[in-house]
Amino acid sequence: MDEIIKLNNVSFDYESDDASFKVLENFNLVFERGTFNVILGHNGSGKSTLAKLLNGLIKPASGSVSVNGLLTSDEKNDFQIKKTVGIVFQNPDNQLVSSIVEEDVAFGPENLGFSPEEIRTRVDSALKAVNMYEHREHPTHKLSGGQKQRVAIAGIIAMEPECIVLDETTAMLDPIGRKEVIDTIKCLNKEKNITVILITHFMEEAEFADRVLVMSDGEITADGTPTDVFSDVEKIRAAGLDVPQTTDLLDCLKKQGYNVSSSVISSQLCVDELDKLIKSKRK
Amino acid sequence: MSYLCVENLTHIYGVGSPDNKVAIKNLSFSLEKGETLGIIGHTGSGKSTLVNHLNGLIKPTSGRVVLNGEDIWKNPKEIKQIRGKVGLVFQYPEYQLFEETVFKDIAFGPSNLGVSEEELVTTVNEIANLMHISEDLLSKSPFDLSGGQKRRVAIAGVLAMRPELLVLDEPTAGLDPVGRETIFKAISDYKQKYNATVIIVSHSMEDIAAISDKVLVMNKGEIAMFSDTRDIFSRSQELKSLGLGVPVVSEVFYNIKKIYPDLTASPLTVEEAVDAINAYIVNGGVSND
Repeated sequence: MDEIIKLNNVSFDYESDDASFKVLENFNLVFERGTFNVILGHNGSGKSTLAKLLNGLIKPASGSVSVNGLLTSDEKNDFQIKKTVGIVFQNPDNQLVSSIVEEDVAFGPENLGFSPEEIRTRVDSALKAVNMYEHREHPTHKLSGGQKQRVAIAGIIAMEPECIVLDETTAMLDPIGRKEVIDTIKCLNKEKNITVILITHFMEEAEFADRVLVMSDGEITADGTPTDVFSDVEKIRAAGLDVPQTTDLLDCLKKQGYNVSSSVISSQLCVDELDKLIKSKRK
Repeated sequence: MSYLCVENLTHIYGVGSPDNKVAIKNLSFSLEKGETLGIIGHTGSGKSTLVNHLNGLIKPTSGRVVLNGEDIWKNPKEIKQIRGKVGLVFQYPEYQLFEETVFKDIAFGPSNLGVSEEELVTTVNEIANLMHISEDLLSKSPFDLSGGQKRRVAIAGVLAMRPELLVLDEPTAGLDPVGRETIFKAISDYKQKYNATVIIVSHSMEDIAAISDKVLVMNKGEIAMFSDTRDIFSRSQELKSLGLGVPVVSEVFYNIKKIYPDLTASPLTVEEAVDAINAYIVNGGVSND
């Protein structure tokens, strides 16, 4: 397999006045090119630290992070790495740099030195991808939170990175906004083969991932396909994560002795499971 | 006379300017003391504009907000008194923390009302206790806290004013399940202790279903639906047409009932759903709901 990002024995700590706080210690992880990865973790599990390490926003205290074989610790690689891996954060208010939507999205490609025609094409296609094209001439401060977040994502998409990291990007959006963002990301992954690393505590966003990682206290506590990882509901709960109501319902019934599978997330599959259960009891 | 009456409330941003925008149009509803109202609606539907009217933060373009039988703008000079009665917690309130210590931040509101030092200590301790803010945090800088702790301190700052109407705009956005549960528990404790009325804006249908007595659905600046919680979430087709959902368990039951029409329960929470399935199976396929 082709590795895009590799973390090798990474340690990282934050220091405050009275103590230093270890977030990651001897942490190892590899992301394969073109895959859709979801990292689930509660507040303070170290997942945002991990996100910032991925494109060199912060550097490991020891160990190494490499993107396409380039070390993030080497300043020479900064430009190339940030072009390769784009990050979208949780709060859009801290990410927009211009007062007009399309100017904000153009900021990245302008700095990469593209021709005006190329910038126009990229900005338009990025804004269409996040369904904000009709707002292209609007001032950014008049947008709602969800709209701002979609503009922030468009700003990253316009740079056409090989990998997009989304750090709780959907946390502030309403259900429709969330679905639009997730659908956009899925599409970018499938059609443009962009590697996606989505960090979230909404378990349902992991349903379509190639790989799900659960992070707790700076360690990966589960790693596998969604079905593998979600079959152990207790482990998910122990990591302080949201368990969707479908999974929760089936897990409760399972605990009461009924024969149902609890690794189900979608509402339709949950209905199927309940139907099977009721049928089996009626015989 | 209801405790809170919103009457024909309309707000237009940028009146007189060419790009003026009608944010809310002719809203009317009322709420009884001690009730919990959930407000849902698509982003941009006018939820925040509505709640910003409730403590006089913005003035209606037309219509009025009547609290305890009195228009809150009856005497504009006394609008400050309304702000003592109606506590408004904004989205991401932790961005508004500013004091040197957690104690001072929580105490800021009451200390401006000229409350004695002694009483201030009692108030802060009581509210901190209610919000699960441990004593050792009180002397720390609010900026050294975790995200969940900051959020609780920010809400505590509003509760320290002991509002009789507590309005929270997305109080748990961005928090993990433990953080969310702590905040909902604290709100419910506060509500019980002070017989407060609570209004919560949220995108989470699951949360709204679990805590609200009534639900108000906003759509494009108008009230699309207003009824008690169970009624609202049994109208899933209507909600869907507004681009909103129902709690996942309600959705599941809506579909399983198509297969088993004699299953009549309409659960709002996972516990209710488990009970309903259990009862249905135990009674040999006859729902006793």
